[in-house]
Parts: sequence; structure tokens; C-alpha cells
Amino acid sequence: MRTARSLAVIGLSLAGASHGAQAQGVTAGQIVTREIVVAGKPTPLPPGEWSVAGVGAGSITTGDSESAYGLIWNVVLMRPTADGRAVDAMIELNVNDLGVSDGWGLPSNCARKDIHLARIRYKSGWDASCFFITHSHWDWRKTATPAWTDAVRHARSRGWTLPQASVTSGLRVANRRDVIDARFHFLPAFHGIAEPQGAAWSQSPWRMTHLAMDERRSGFARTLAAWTELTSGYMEAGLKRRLPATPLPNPGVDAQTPERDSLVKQRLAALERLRKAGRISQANFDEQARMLTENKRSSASSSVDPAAVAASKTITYPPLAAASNLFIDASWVGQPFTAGVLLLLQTAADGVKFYIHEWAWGSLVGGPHQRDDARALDFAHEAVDG
Amino acid sequence: MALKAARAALLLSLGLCAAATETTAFSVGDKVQSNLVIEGKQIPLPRGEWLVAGASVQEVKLVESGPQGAVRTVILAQILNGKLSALAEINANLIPVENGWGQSGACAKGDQFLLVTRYRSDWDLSCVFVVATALADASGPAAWTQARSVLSKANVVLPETALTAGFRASDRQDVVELRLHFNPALLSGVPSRDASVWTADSVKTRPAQRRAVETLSAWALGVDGWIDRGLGNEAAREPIEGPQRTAILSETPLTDRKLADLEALYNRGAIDVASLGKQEMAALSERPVLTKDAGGLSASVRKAVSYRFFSAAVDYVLAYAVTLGGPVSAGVAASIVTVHSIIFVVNDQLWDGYYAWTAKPDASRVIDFVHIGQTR
Repeated sequence: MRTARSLAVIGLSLAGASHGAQAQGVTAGQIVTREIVVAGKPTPLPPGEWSVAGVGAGSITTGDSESAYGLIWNVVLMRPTADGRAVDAMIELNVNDLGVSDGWGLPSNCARKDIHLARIRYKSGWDASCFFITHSHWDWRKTATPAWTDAVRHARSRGWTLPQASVTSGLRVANRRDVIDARFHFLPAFHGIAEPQGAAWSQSPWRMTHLAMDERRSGFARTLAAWTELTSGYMEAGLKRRLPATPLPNPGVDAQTPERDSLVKQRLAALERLRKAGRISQANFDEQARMLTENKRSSASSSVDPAAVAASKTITYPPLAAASNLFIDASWVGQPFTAGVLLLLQTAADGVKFYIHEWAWGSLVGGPHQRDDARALDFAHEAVDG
Repeated sequence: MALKAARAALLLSLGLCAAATETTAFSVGDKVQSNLVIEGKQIPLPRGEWLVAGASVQEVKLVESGPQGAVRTVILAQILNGKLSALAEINANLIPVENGWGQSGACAKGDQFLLVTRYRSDWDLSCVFVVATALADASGPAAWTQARSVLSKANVVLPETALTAGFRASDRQDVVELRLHFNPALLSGVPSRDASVWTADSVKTRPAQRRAVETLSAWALGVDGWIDRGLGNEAAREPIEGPQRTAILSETPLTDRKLADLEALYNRGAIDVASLGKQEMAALSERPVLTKDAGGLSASVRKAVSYRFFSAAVDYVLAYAVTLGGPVSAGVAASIVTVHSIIFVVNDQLWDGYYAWTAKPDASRVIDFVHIGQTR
């Protein structure tokens, strides 16, 4: 059996050699527009000519995948300004090469409270879609990954000035097999917003607490939030290798493209087409349109965190147990003082032993078959964003 | 053994040289090959030419988390010397949804020859099953009525019963249910126009039929992953092999593909030898995490029992430390075990029920389509 598998693998290797060379799909120096396909998975790009500045192996910094994913491709793209003197936007992608069977987690940034926006569209142990907006500061003296090292060299060889700060839109889409993690870095200077020199991340005017008082910056952040939500739909479609025909717009422009319509409107239009084609009855259409209008895109589709369930149970159980102990101790011990001491000890121990037991069940007994809690899984990224 | 293995590798290599075509537009009467693309989803088919024999749209029974739009049904036929070799019955959604496609009656425990659930959660499902399907009458979707007419005009002889490998795969957005109905005579070598030989009890006592079921089951378990991949438009670049051909090639095509891909990465210098070794080991044991625990009384009772043992020991130690009396400590511990057991189960059930309600009121909804041999 083992021999047969070895030979079969050799056969597959020979036949699939050309595929192996194309798995990555991109090479440094390449110019791409509209989309970039990495390891077979397309990611939409805003308009313009994007230069593939660096390609290399990425790494996982938080969490881990115990599956055979081959490697994480780390790809850096840069879009130069029209005069070719600077970079006005950058993209960093992390994409798995081989599909796995056990899913991927969420980035820690999607759970942050100290950044402009963090939204989880859906999450479970096996799939996820989330996005966030924050600001990033860059120190080009040291780089986090080989792709960024190459990217810096690439930019300098072309005489492009690299930014000191950017506003970052981060998106993660994942299913049981694949993950695409994208960070779009936009330079405020090219949106008419001047940046103070040398400000630390925590002192940046883009800091969430400062934004409310800054109309221009908060306006750009709102624009970017709308664009990021739109892009999340593109990214989810890209994960299924069916990007919309309409290109992804730049933030704040192309307001009337069809994809800017809400998903609800698009679904209603699709239902209408089915009705007109006679594929669904009028009654069926009416009922589905009602559901769509009432439920909208809010899918209530995030799994419950087992830790939250355990915590809820832990909060309500001790008072109930303590009340019953009061009667039990009094009836068996008889002496009020001794019974009182025993009650205090039991009450103190109850919560601890209950939580330990719940945790042990969730982690050890239920763990392998009930891992429906969303994990945190981060890749190594360039820039300071927190 | 070595000869079979060498032949397997050779055939596999040769087979892969023929790249898959991808058919996106087709109509009844067309001849197509794998992969077929229906509503933006790849449908991997066994190698060979397939006749598009029927196509229709069926409405889906609505559930509150809808809308589900409608489902497209396509029936393909593979014909060999004027006889039906196999039918492919495909159901795929027309509109992507947000909340998944629920569970399927075909994936619930019943009288299938084989039923394996690869994974199941509130938002996705992958299962494979092997059953016998009656082809004798026109029960089924409109596409089947049309297909019967097309096949009749072409003088194609239908068996009374087919041996079916069914695959249901769904994620948050899409669903594909592929049922491949094989002429049992081609699998068992025994012509059979008698449906009664394909009952579960009958198959056990008939070696030829049992062998056919075993062959089809082994094949279905080897190719089910490709159906999942089609849902994400990443199906194999080559057609999947049929049951007879697979029997002499590899029963683990997905694992073989993963090992080959890892090897290709290593050969290109993308991963080092340590990573290759570690990932090869992982690839050999890679399985989807099966299912979300649905909870329920039995889980609570099991937890209550284990907790009681743990808790009683702690309670006895505490009581003894205070009273220094063995019988009194035993009495306190025993009383606590009894009363707390009741409180524990009630508390557990109430919170599990509450979170299940807030997370998804209809997580276990069943969404089924009309299939060949069935009426709604």
C-alpha cells in the first residue's frame, strides 16, 4: 500500500510539475491590474498598475495550523504615483498555498477595541470573514518578512519614496480550506491630508480618540470603512474564485457601480429575475423578499464562544449551590459556627472547581469534536499598527 | 502488488496528461465533460462524455433564515453501447445565501449502504452516502421526466434500479448535491432487473452485489473531497476517475495529490526538508473536524456524572477538614452530590438552550430537494 502510494505520488508529481511552478502565480517585478491571483486565489485590486514588489514565505505569529498548508505566500504590491516619485498605496497579502481541512482563524486586529473599526461578518471554528481599519507607522530600517525586504529594495531601485504612515484597511476571509489575508495601506497625503512628521502610533492624529475632532480624517475613515465593507464582499467572492466582473473601485469614488448597492438589493434583484423567468412563483417570491427585507445581511451567523457559555454557567451555578449547601450543612453538622465555616469553604471552592471542570470538558473531552470556537491566527506583518 | 502499484502510477500519470475541460453553457442534447460549471460552481464528473438529458428548476421549501431562491436540477447520462452506464443528477443553488443550507435528510442515519459525514456545523455540511435508487418510474423532478423522454427517444435502456453514490456539500453561500446513479450491472457484473436484490439484507447475502456496494463505497470515499473543492471552484484539473478505474489506481487520490503538491513545493525550494517531513505526516492524517456537538441531555448528564465524582471528593475533604468526622463528612458529600446533580443539569440545560436560541434558531433545519425516485 505504501509502495503504491509512493509510486502514485511520483506519478502525480511528474504530471503536476507544471502546476507546481504556477501555484504561486506571481513573480517579483510583475505588473498587475484589477486582480492578483496567488496560489489560485484571486484578490481584487483598486484601479491602477500595481507592481509586485516582493514575494516570499510568510509566517504565522499567533496560533498555528496543524494541517499541511504547504506555506503561506507573503506578497507585497506597490502602486507608484503618476510622477513615479513615491508610492501612494501598498498591499500586503498572506495566502495559503495548499488547502487544508480544518479551517483558519481570525486576525487579532478584528477583535480590537482601540482602532477605528473592527467588524466580524461571521466566524466559527472553520470559517471567518472580518475587517478592520487602523493606522500604521513604518520603520524601513528593519523589515518583518523577506518579501518586505525585497519590496523596500524594489522601491528604492525605482526611486520611489516610501511612506512613514498610512491608513490601513485589513481584511481576512477564510473557509475550511483556504485563507486570504489582505492589508491595503493608503497614504493620506494623496487624499489631501497632511501627515505630521515623527508622531508615534499612539500620538497619531489617526488615533481613534483624536478622530472625532478631526473632520477631514474622520471623513476619510468613513469613506474607507464603506470601501472596506464593499471589498469584503469581493474578497469572499475571490475565495470562491468568482470575483465580480465590475472592478474594485478606489475608496471614495465610483459610487454608482452595481456592487456598491447593498447585498440586499442585489439579492432582491436576483429573486426578481427568477420570478420574471418563471423559475419561482409570485407567492414564493413574495415570501423570500419578505425574509430578505426582514433579515437583511445580518446573518446571526457567528458561533458562540464556549468560554462565554462556561462563564455564564459559572455565574449562576454558585448561588444556587450555596443556597442548597446552607440547608445540607445545617442539617448534618448542627453547630451553626462549624456549619458556617464549612459553607464559606464550600462556596469558595465551588466556583473554582466548576470552572476547572467546564474548561476541562471543553478543552479535553469536547475539544477534538467540538472546536467551533473561532481561533486567533496572525501572520507576520510589516508596520506598527498598535 | 508491485505490478499493480507501478501500473497505478503509470496510469495516473497518463491520465493526468489529459487536462479537464470546463463547460459553463449547455442545453439539453449537448454532450459535456468534466468539469461542469453550474451557477458558478464546478461539478466534478467521472471521466467521459455525458449527454445533457434534462434540466429544470425547483423551488426550495422555505425556512425562516431564507431566502434560498431556487435550485437548478440537471440530469446527465453516460451511455455505453446503447445502455445506460451512469446518470448524474445535480442540484445547485441559483442564488448564494448568507446562512448556509442546513442539513439534509439523505445525510441522516437511515437505510443507506454507506453514510459518512465528513463535517457538519450550523453553516456547512459534507456527507457521502451509497443507496439504491429506483429508476423504473418517472417519480422525481421535472428534469427526470424530460431525461426519460430524451433517453427513450435515443433507445437507451434504463436499469430498474441504480446503485447511487450521493454527495452533499454546502457552505455559508452555496450548496451542491450530486448523485451519481451507476448501472449496477457494470459494477457487479451481474445483470439485474430485480430491484429486490438491492435491499440492505439482500446485498449481505449476495457476493456480487456486496462487492459492487463495497467498490462504489470505497470510490465515493476517495472522491468526496473533490465535490467539496468544486463548491469553491478548485476542483481537480483533471476529471475524476470512475469506480472501476479507481479500483486499480489509488483509493486515496486526495492524499496523493496533497503529498505531490508538498513535494513540488519542496523541489522548488519553497519549503525546507523539515517542513516537508512535518507536513507530509500531517497530510497523511488530515481529516476535517467532524461536527459541532449538538449538546442535549446526554451531554449534560455525562458532564454531571464526571463533575459529581470530582466535586464529591473535594466536598468530602472540605467537610472532613472542618468536622473531623468521617460519617458526617460522607453524609454532607452525599447530600451535596444528590442536590447539586439536579441543579447542575438544570443550569446546564437552561444556558445551552439560551445560547443555542441566540446563536441560531433554526440551526438543524433540513433543506431537501426532489430527487430521482422521490416525490416531494
